[in-house]
Amino acid sequence: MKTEDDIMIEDLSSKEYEAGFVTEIEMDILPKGLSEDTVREISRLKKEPEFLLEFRLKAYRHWLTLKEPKWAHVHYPAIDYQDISYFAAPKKQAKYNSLDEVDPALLETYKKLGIPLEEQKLLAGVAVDAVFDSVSVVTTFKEALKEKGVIFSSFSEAAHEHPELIRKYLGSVVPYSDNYFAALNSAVFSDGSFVFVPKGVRCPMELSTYFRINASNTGQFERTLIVAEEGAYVSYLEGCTAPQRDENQLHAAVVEIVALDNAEVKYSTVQNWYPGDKDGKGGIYNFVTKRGICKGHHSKISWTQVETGSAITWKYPSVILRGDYSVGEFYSVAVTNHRQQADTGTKMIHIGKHSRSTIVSKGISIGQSNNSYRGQVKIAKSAEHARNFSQCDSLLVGNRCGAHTFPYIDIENSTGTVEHEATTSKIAEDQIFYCQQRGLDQEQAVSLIVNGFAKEVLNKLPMEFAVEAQKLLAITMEGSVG
Amino acid sequence: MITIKNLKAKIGDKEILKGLNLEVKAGEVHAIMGPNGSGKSTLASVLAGREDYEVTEGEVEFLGKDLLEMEADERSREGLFLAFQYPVEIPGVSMTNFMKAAVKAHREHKGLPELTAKEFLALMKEKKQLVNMDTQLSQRSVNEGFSGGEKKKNEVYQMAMLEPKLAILDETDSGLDIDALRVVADGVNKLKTKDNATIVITHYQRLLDYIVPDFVHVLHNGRIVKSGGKELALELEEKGYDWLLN
Amino acid sequence: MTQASIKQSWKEKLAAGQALATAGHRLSAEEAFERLDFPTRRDETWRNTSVKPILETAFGTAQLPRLDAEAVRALRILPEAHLLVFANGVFQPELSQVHPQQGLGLMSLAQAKQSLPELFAQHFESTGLAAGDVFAAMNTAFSQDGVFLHVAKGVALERPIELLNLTVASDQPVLAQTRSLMVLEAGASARVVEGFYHLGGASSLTNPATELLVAANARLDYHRLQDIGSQNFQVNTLAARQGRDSHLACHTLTLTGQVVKNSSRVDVAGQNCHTALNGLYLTQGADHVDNHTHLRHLAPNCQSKQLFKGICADNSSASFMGMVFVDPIAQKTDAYQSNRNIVLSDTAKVHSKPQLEIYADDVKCSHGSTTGRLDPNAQFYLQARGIDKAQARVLLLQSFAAEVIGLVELEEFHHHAMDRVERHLARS
Repeated sequence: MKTEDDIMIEDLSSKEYEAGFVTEIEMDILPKGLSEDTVREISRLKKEPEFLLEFRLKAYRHWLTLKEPKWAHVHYPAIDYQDISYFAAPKKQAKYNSLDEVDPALLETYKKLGIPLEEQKLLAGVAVDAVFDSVSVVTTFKEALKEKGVIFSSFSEAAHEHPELIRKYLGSVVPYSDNYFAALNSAVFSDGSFVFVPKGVRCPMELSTYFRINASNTGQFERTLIVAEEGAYVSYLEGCTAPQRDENQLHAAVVEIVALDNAEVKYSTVQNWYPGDKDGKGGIYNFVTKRGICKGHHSKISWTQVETGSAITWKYPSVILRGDYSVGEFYSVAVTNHRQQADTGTKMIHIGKHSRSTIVSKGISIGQSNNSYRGQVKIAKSAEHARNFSQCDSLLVGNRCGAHTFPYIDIENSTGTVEHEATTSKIAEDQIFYCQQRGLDQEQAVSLIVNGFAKEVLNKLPMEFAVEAQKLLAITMEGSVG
Repeated sequence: MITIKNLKAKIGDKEILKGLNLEVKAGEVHAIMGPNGSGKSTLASVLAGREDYEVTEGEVEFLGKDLLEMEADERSREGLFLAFQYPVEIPGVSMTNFMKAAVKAHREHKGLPELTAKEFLALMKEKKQLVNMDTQLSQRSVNEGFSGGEKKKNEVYQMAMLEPKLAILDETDSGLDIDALRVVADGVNKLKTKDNATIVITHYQRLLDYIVPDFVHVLHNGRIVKSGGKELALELEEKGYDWLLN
Repeated sequence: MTQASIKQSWKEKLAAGQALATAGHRLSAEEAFERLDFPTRRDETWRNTSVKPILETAFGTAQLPRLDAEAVRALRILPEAHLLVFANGVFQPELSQVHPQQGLGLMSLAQAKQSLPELFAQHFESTGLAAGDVFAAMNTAFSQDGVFLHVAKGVALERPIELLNLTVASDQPVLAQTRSLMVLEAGASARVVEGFYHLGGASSLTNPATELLVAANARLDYHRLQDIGSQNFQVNTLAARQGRDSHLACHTLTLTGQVVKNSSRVDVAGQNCHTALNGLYLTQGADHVDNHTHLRHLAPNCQSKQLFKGICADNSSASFMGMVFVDPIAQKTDAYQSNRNIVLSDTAKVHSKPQLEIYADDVKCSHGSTTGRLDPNAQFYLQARGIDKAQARVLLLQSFAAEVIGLVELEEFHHHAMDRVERHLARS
């Protein structure tokens, strides 16, 4: 248990957060538009092995046959997929021996974002694979990880250095045919991260990647693949911020996680893509497919997310509980303000015997936003004695927003147990008054109460992320009262 | 410290305060007594700025400023503290975080720099001792799962943290056993200086054995109908309120 | 058969006589029936129910059967009540009995169309049942008869009303539908019990549709008992609208049916209303029961409660899909929705989808859904007290079911339902 002093220091050491600026840096941008040639060109530029090009082409051809999904509780103007540039990479692609060689403007961006790429990282014990737009430029701590046999690199690099692993696992959890956006990603993904933790290894540090959309009108198609072999453990952090832009930007990432026997993967996200202005103009469309498979017995995959950004969020980090006694967890805080729309939740697909899952979702709706929880719990026939517990709470601030809950519960055997509870409430006046009587203004009071509401989930985040997340919540709450 | 002139206030259509006058000077302890429904808690709420109540007439000057013009949080930062009769639970918000935010707001208002983590911890430790508070309490959510006694102690602890100029204790004795009452009163007494003042709102004389008032006022039907020294409280204890009200 | 040919064949079977709906309604409903596809599992509200077995059945022409008065009497729950009997969608006046009361209008809907044309025109299809649903559209376009209930302002009905909705087939499957319109004027109150039974022969599909219009301060308690037998189908559509300060309670007990689909939509359009939607389904064999509720809070200060419970055995399956919608103006709404299921066999399936869609902030809305097996600890506890395992099981299941039936205020229905449930569970 944390001591009081730990808690205090954690609270007090939070960094300043800033967003909404643009770094001037030279970019390689493919002309707008999507065709088989674009796909080939991406693969060629990245000098990919043949099997990857084939994967992309299959995905592209399949994508052409699909229609954009319409079932989510979100509304947005039609996306012109031909009006998007599918590849943007910083010009300097050479590998650096030290940070000194990195484009100073890029480093400045990270600094503004509060990403301590330098030795502070060592102190914090975090290795960073920083993705600037699409191509990974700097990877630190590789050596330290290498000693343990952990592979943590950009996806492109992994495709060259470990093609057998990529070939084995890419698309094994989220096949290219999975859905519209996954197919699109599979065809045109630019880069991302690859993590491989070999048998019996406990990854010695939290792995973190910061994504950032920078180029105007450039779709961002990240691809992340995490594999934990038998008995391995890894905690992966993903955080995003995006600078202010006028046009809608599409983000369609795919994350795949594989956990073998007794392995554990913890995936934490703080997502703060640009949500658009007060009237909903601009902002990121975040259509993400995240899925893990607990392939082995006693394996565990845990998703924790704090979603404050994006104009539209469409995201359901899921776990396929294939292994007996496997465990899936989903902890989520989603805040929407102004005209943001979020449709997020999870799927827990129980196949293995005695598999267990827990879902805790906290939705906060402010302004004229709409916040939906959508989740599925399926207990297959084979999943004897499987258990699920779900708790979905919504908090409404103001009466022009919406909070929605759409759980799907499907049970196919008699020994499974599923419990789902959901509540909707608003912040009580007397709570605000109590805080005000202690000297906090209304906005601070609301922010404090909302943080309390989300605490159960925030507590699941690694410490440095929890602090960032609290700040984000406070920023998102700004202008929500009065 | 505070001057209340002809204060009238209503909730909905119901007038509760009907022209109340009171002056409290620095260094004084005033007790406001009265039967249920006389308007005691309304007075506390109106002074603290609860929005449910509408002030229809009168003025309140607090340390030279117009109190009624201020938002509830401004009143707090100006040095007015209300110990709630029913402290509110705020799930998920730890006492530490809560107090940190409050102390920060107060210090900012006074133009003081934010306390370092170390200083703040030291301050919390010091003040907790004042009310004999369990150290674990500060890791729990604000008032959540607190017993009646813990809640009241917690109010006095917060008062100690914020060092108000004027503290209003609204039925702080209700629901306390005699030991808890003594601890709470003890804390209040230790916080007393020549520069601050206290208004104790209570139904029973019992609390006043421990927090000895300089003045006692009887509130009835929205007005102060009788004022006197501490002996008035004893008289009320003996005779009840009826002799005053008829 | 193609959709079009199925529709054509059904239409021929249903449209042989005089349609109830006025030309305008009939035209648009028929147009909707032609236009809309039969639902598939890709349609959200039919996600868990397949219409395939219905579409694959060759329904014959509905004949007018000869009904045994004794057999009909045996089905009655409320011997003192007003009674209207329908067989294969056709009103049976000789088996029906209405006790006159001032302010009560109770007759067949076809008769009401003749004798009370203004009331009929004012209320028929006023809930917009036909729009967007192929089965409701079919009912609206081709229904020939059903129940008409009108309770005048301030009138409290002394006797409850019992409706028997029967199907009887020869060697050919039969297709039947009734249309019910129940109108309670301001301050009126009524209690209605409707039973659905299949009396024999080949299988049947019933497609009843009901409109409930509950005006200000009125109170309606509506009870349904569905025991149509395991080879038969029912698609039951209900739409209700409540005025301010009104009470509406709908209780649905489903005992048998190869496919039973109940879709209920309630618009709470006035302040201070109370709404209760309750259901109990006990599925066995290969039965399938699907309850879909859509409760829309369109006015402030209302309270709604929904409790649906199921016990699913053998290869049976059940689905609950509920939606509570709270309009921005419906502040202070207090809505609760609960779905609890017990799965008794590894081959039974349960689907649950309780949903909230909320646009007002000062509300108390929650839902819960639990599904699991019978608590083995409780069972063991009873056994430890000397009750044998089978008996312990029945006892626990009964008490699980009793929670829903306990919400029924009409005593005779309460007792009858409990009795039926006990017998049903003891058999399983």
